[in-house]
Amino acid sequence: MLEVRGLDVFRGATHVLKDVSFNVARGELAALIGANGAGKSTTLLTLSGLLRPRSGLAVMRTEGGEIDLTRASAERIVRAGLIHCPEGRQIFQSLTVAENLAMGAYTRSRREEIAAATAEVHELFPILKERASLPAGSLSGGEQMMLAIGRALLASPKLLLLDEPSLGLAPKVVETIFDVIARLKAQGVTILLIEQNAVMALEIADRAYVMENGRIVLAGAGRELMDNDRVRQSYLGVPL
Amino acid sequence: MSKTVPDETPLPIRGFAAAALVAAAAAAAVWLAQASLSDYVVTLLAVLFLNAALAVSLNFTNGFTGLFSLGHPAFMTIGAYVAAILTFPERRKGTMLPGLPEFLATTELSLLPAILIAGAVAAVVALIVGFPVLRLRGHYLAVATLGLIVIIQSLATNWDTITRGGSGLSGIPRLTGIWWAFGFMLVVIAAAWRIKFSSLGRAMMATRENELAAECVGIDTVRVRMLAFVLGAFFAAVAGALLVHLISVVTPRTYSVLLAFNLVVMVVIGGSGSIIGAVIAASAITVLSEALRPVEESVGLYGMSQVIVALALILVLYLRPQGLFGSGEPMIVRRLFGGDRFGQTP
Amino acid sequence: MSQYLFQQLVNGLSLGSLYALVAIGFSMIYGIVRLINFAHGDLVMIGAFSTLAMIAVGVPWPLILVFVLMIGAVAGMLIESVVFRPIRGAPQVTGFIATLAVSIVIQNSALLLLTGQQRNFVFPAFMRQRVPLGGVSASLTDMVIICLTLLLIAILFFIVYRTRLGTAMRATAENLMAARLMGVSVNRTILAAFAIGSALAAVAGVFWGGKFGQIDPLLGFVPGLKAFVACVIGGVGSLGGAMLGGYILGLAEVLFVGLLPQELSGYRDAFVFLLLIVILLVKPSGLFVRHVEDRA
Repeated sequence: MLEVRGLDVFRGATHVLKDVSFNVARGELAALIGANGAGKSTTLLTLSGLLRPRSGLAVMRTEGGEIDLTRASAERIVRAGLIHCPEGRQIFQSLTVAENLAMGAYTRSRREEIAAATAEVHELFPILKERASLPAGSLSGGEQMMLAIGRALLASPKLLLLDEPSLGLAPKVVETIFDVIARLKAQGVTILLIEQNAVMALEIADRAYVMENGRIVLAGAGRELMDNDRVRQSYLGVPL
Repeated sequence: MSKTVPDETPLPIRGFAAAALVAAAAAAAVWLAQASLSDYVVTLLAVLFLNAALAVSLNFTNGFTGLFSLGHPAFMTIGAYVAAILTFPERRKGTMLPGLPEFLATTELSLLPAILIAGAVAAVVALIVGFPVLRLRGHYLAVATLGLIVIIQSLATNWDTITRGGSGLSGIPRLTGIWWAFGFMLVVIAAAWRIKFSSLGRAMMATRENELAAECVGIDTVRVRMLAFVLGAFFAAVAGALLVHLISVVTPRTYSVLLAFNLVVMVVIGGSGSIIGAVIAASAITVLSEALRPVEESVGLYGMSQVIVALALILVLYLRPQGLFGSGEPMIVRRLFGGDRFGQTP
Repeated sequence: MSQYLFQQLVNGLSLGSLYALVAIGFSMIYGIVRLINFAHGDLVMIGAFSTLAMIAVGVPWPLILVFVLMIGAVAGMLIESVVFRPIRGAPQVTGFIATLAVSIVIQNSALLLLTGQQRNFVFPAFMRQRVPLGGVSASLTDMVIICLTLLLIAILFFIVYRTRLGTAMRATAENLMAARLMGVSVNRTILAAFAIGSALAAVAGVFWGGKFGQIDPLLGFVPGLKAFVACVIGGVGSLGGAMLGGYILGLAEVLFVGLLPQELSGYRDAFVFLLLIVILLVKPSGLFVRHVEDRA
C-alpha cells in the first residue's frame, strides 16, 4: 500500500533522512522505532506532504488509484486517505471537542457519513461525547490523545500515521490507546506507528523498522525484532 | 571565522590612521564639490549626508539590536523644534513666538550647543517612552513608535505658545551647511562603527539574535535595548535640528511617517545592521528621488517616486531580503578600519 | 438622559462602529498569518473612493454597499496573493515592512490618480435628518452606521463560529500544521481571511465618508493605526476583543473631546496613542484575553 524508496530529506542544511526505504502492506500494522532525533517524525511529515524530499520516491496505492506523496499537496494526500495524527497531539485547543472532530472530517462532505463516523468515534471514546461542547484545551492529556485519534478517524483513513500516541500518558490510558489501535487494525485500517515504547509497538506490529540517524538499519516482523539482540539492548532496555 | 582567509594579510595602514585618511580624502572631495558645484547640488549633498547619518543611526535599533522602531521622525521633530527655538534670533522671538516663557525668549544660542541640547531632550524623551515601549517586540514596537510620531505631531500642532501650531516656525537661521552635515555624518558613522565592533555592539547583536541566550550569558538586554533606542533618538534629533537649519522652516509635518518609511527602506536595502550598506542605500535613494522629481513635475505625477521606492523595497524583500551586505560590512572596509566579522550573517 | 449626553453616546458608538469594523479585519488577518497588516487602513480609503465613483455614475445605495464589500474583498485577496504570499514564512519584520510598502504604494498611487485634494462625500439627503427617540434625537447617519455595523458583525460571527470555513479559519489560526494535516488548504483559508477582513474595512470607508463628509487619499492612515490600538485594547487576535476594543476606543475618544476643556480637544489622536502605551504597560495581553500571547 505504501512504498518508500531512497528518500532523502533535508531540514535546512541538515540531512535528516538518508536513503530511507520501507513498505507497508494493506491491512498491516507497521512500526517505526528508534531514538529521539532518528528521523521518525520527519518521515511521517514527508509522507503527509508537509516536507518535501530532495530525492526519492513515496507512493501510496489504494483502490482509488496511486498517489505520489512527494508531489501531491497535503490537501490531496488527505483526500486520498493518508491521515497523519501528529506528535504532541496538536489538537485545536480553542475549538470545542465537536469542532475538532468536525475538522477531522474537513475533506468529507456527506453529512450522514460524517454523523455515522462521529457516532463510531463516540462509541470508541465515550468521553468525547460527554465533553463535545467543551473547549478541547480543557481536556486532560489522555483525553486529548483520544480526541487526536478520533479526529484522525473522522477523516476515514485508509492509511493512518500515528506519531507517538503514548507519549506522556498514564499507563492505563496507554493501554486504552493501544486497544483502540488493535481494534482499528482488526477493522482493516493500515497503520504506520511511531513509538518510543518499543515493547508495546513490537508486540502488536506485523512488521517493524528500526531507524538510527536517519537510516533504516533493521527490518523484520515485530516478534522477530523483539528477539534481536541489538534491538533488545538499544530499545527494550534488556542487557545482553 | 577561519584564520587562513587571505584577507588577513596586513594592509599598509589600518584602523584610526586609515579612517583619518579616508575622512580627509572625503573632506577634500566635499571641499572641491562645495567650491565648484552649484548651490543646489551642495544643498542636495548636505541633505544626502544627513540622510546617510539618519539611516546609520536607525541601525542602532533596527539593525544592531533588532528593534523595529519607526520613531525617528518623532525624535527629529523634537530636535528640530528645540534647536530652532534656541537659535532663533532674540529680537524676532517677540513677534514670532510672543508666548514663549521668559528664559526661552531671552536665549539665543549658537548651533552647536543648540543641537546638543536638542539631542539631549530627545534622548530624555526616548528614555521615558522606552520604558513601556521597549518591552514590546516586532511590530508592536513598530506601531507604538508610529503612535509616538502621532503624539509628537499633535503636540507640535497644539502647543501654540512654543511651536506656533500648524503653521510652524519659519525664518530659522540658516546655520547648517555642507560641512556641518558632513561632519555630523562622520561622527555618526564613527560612533556606529566603534559601537558595532565593541562589546556593547556584540551585546546588541546577541540581543537581536536570541534574547534568552543573551540574558543567559549575562547581557542586560533591557539596558542594551534602551541604550540603542536612546542613542538612535539622540542622533535623530541632532539630524532633525541640523536639517531645519538648512531648510529654515519646521512644521509639525516636516518629518512624517513617510520619512520613517524611507529610512527603513534605506536600512533594509543596505542590509539591516550594515553601516556602509546604510550609507550607500541612503545616498542612492536620496539621489534617485531627487532625480525623479523633475520627471514627476513634468508629467504631473506627484508621488510616483515614492511608489517606485516602495516597489523597489518589495522587490528587495523578495529577491535579497538580507539587503546589500546582510548585517556585515564589505570586507575591504573592515580591513581598512578594523572590525571583526561578527554580525555578518551567513 | 440629556440630549447632549445621548448625542455623545450615539456619536461614540458610531465612531466605535467604524473602528470595530476595521479592527475586526485587522485582528482576523493577524490571527491567521501573524502579520500586522499596515495596509489594512488603506482599504478604508479604497472603500470610500469607490463609493464616490459609484455615486458619480448613479449606482443605487444598497447596491453600492454590496459592491464595496466585493471591491474590498478583491483588493484584499489581490494584496495577499501578490505581495504577502511570496514572503510567507519570512521573519515577521519582513512581513511588516512589506505591508508598510504596500500601504505607501496604495496611498501614493491614489495621490497620483486622485491628487491630494479633499473631496466632498455626501450621503443621500434623507440620511441627514434626525430621528426622535423618546425625549432625545440622534442623526440617522449615526443610527444607520451603528445598525449596519452590528448586522455585519453578526454575519461575520456566524461565518467564523458556525460554518465549515470559519472553523477551518480558527483551526488554521491556532495551529497551521495541524490544519494542513486535516486537509485544509491554507492558502485558500488565508485568502478568505483577507477577503472578509478587507471587505469590512472597505465598508467602514463608506461609513467614514458619510460621517465626516470629506475624504482624501491618505485618510486610511489614522483608522489603520487606531484599529491596531483597538485590537491591543481587546487583545490581539481575538475577534470579540477587537470589536469591543473598537467601541471602547470610539466612546473614549468622544468622551475625551466632550468632557475635557476645548483647548485639549486637538490632542485627541495623541490621547489615543497615549492610551495604547498605557495599556501596553499595564495589561499587554489586552483587557479581554486571559492568556498572554507570545509577542516575540
